[in-house]
Amino acid sequence: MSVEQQQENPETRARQHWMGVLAKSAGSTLQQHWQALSLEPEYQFIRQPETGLTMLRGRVGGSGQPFNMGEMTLTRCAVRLASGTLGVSYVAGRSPQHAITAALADALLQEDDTQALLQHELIEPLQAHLHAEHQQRAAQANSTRVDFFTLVRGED
Amino acid sequence: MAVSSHELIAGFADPVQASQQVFRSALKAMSEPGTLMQIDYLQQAPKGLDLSTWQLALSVFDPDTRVWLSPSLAASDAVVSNLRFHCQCPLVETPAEADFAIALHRELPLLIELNWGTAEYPDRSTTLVVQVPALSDEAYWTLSGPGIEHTRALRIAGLTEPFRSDLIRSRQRFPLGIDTFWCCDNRLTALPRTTFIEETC
Repeated sequence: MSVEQQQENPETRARQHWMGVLAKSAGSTLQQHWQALSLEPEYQFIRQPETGLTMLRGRVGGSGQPFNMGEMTLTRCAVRLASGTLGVSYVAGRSPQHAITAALADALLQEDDTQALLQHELIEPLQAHLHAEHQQRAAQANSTRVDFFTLVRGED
Repeated sequence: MAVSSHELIAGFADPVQASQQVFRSALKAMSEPGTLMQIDYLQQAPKGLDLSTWQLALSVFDPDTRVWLSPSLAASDAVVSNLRFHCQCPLVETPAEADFAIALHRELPLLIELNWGTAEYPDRSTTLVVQVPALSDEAYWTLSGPGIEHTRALRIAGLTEPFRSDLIRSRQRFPLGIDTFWCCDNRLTALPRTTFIEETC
């Protein structure tokens, strides 16, 4: 079965972005920010959080032939709010709570009256946190960089 | 067809336990043909599917199960979306390609259109799941064969004449054949290819 190409529109792109941030953030950091908001939406599970393996596929240089890189653990969940909005999450690791919170946040981010609040109070701080972590890791890696210089040989 | 999110309904509350219990019921129905089983692990099914059909689907379908749906089920957004979301099963165009075919009693495919398996691999046949208006143990059919000590009575409502005689005659092609599940509301029974059917009324 081939993956259908999603229609690229700003709404899809925005949702991809926040789902990415929710999935990549550490469970504890997400929980901390989520609890600070003290939102307690009413919801029902469409799919209970369940943990499984998924195959990661990569392409050499981002454009070569696809290859199977390895498997990772993943937890997924789907919830429906009382208003009918569906929230879905796929997060790394085996934390059901992380998956539930991410799914709830995804659903609330699609609701007009909570979107701005969550973008501002949840996604932006998490994004900043991720960015800082990334910078720090890049800086650590950078300090071990070895530069090789090749002297240009003169013409014989 | 993409999954439409507003049609999705909840799956099993406890997927591991419930799907094993449902599988156990399906196995009992298949091994003691004509036994009426009641399965109640869900209160809601997608519009168009009976509770028993939906629970059977949730417990046995997976991404490697090819499923064919009879025309009005295939046209139902609720049925297709929920099967794709919860079971991730590929939906096929013709009953002959399917591992499982789900049909309403008034849209039954001809038995000959299904996959009967081959002499080497009779187990690769299509399993037919039919939703019927009524199921009971009234003595319309007398069943006998493996899994039945003497005889067992069964009534499946809503089957047309050519289909009934096709089903009864299909026993002559053993080991090839079609195994069938019959669903009505939250009840289910099964008639594997080994069961002889005799019409009493």
